[in-house]
Amino acid sequence: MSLRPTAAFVTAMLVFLPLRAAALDLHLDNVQTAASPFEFNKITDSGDTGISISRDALIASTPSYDLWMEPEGVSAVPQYGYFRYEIYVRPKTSPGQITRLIFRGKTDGGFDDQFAEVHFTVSNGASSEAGTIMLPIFGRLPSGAITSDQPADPIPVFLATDKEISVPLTNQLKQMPVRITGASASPNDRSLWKPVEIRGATSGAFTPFLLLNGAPPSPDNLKIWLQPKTPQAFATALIPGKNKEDDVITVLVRYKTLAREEMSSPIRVRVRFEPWPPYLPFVAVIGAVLGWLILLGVRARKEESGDQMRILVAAAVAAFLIEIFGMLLVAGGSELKFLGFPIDPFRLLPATFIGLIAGLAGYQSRDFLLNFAKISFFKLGNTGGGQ
Amino acid sequence: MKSDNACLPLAFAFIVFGTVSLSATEPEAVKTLSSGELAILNVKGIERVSISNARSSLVKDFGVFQAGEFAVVPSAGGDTFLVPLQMRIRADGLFARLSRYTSAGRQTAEWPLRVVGGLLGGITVDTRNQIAYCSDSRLNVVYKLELNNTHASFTTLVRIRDAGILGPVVLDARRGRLLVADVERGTILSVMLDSRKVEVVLDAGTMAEPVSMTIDSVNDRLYIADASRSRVWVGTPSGNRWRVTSMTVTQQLKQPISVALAPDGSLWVADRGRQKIWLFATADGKTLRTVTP
Repeated sequence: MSLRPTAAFVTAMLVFLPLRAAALDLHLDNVQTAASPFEFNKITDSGDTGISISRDALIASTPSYDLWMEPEGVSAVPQYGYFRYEIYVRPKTSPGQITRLIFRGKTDGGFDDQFAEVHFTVSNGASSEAGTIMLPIFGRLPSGAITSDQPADPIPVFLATDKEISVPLTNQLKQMPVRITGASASPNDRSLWKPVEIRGATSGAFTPFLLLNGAPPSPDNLKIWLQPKTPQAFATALIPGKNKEDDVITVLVRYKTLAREEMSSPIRVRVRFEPWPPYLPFVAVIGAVLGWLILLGVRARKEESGDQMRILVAAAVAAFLIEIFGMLLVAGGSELKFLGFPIDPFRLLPATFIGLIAGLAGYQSRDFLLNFAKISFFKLGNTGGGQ
Repeated sequence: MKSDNACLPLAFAFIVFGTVSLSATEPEAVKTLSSGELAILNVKGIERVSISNARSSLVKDFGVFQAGEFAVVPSAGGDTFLVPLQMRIRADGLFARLSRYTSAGRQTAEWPLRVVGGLLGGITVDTRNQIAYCSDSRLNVVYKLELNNTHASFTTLVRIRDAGILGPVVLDARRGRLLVADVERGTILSVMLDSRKVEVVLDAGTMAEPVSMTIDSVNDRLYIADASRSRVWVGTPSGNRWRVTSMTVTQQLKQPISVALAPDGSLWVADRGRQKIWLFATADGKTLRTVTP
């Protein structure tokens, strides 16, 4: 019997022998966060074969070893309060000899989920090498990952016009991407709106998207499409409540972070009904008519009908001009005040009020216009045309 | 190093979500119902799966929450579900609770664990006396709760100070004791219900991560899902202690996280690693069928 085939067979067996004979050990150092440490403890290790590194893996290396964890290699065990890490190590000289190590990671502290640099030591019994690998670490409870910067003032929505509002989202986690998986929206007062739609980029259907940490808020990826029911919205705008907003749309954003279950975060979008600005001067004119009617009943009844009409026209024109002037003033950052109280000329009731005052002060409105232009039409007792 | 970190978010965008299924329907735990159907607890809620046609229906949608083990309690009006819900933040601290739902998904009771920071891990029910036993995996306490009283409070049965992480718990009615797995140490502890004496009945070294257990009281067998050793162990009594042997073959399971005994004596195993639910014959460990949720 020849020894040569036997020796070859033994050599081959040694080459393909799974790793137990030359088992590797891996130690992960604990990570100290500002709040508390995140501790790693090895649960078990075993030899493995036929595992390749995916392009998504978290990879580290030392002079002699490759080390990696696949993204799905970390999972939560929420009922027992820890996270499970499945990490692979292989010697560079024998890439087929892979050791699979499972670690438990846990903390008692509250900190944001984040990626951290974890120091490790690989040893084969005879020598050891150290390195670092970026691994996700997790606080005891999932932290709120999503915020949205909303403007200080409610977002204006025209009474009879559909409106698309962007909901910019910001990722608050440290170096941990967040996937926005879905969203729903519900107004506080459903009677004011047709069903609220959730939209995505380019106003199309919403599609899940990634939110990276440190990236500027993405205003385009999540939008709500509001369609007011005009009569109800008009009534709400005419009789404003004590709040600056007319309604609040709660957008429930669902998101997923690594190894955590899906969570949701409510975002309050405050909206205020506003008539379309070109309508407002005409609203002021209607207010002027109301004011004129009151003036007619109280004082101007004695005037001839022609003069009554002149007062009405003067009041209407004055209301129209004051409203436009007020809108320009406020749009320019100034304030319009009446007896010390600020008036928002972009709202229905204040616009009506401006007209009402102009109508009530019909004589003064006429004088006001005469100061601007000497139009004989506005002179009382004038039965003819221009002077 | 700084520049590496700056690139991290972009890189991890692919790493985190490139290849992983983000399905929220991965089973966290399985139980069998009196009807023979399978109940699956996942992150969304409880699903009932018909064994004959594999059709599933949602019993209770929890929305967004995290849960692990749960218990099914047979009762006259149909099975009820006992679900430990994880910590909830209140003004005065963090609290866990146990909720009971009917088979129609209606909540009929909620028992808050009035211990700050407690985390309900395993649960088992003494159906004859209507008592639930829960392990607290954070404080290493075993609690007792009377289910007939909706205003009852958790009382401490025993605190095991030198335990690692208390995990699944089963009632060994034949011997009047609870069996509690220590997930961190890989041991099984027994807690005598009368004397509250605690002793180790399966030493460390064999199991690595016993995350779920079920007991066959008829045949006196204990089944243990070991997530890290990727197998299900079957335990046979040896005096007061247990001996375990592997029931499943190597590399068949990847990360078994829950076991449940079927009415015919076969064993359901939820495998998170392979995203499957397996049915094994307990006599020889052969696969009878698989369900992919």
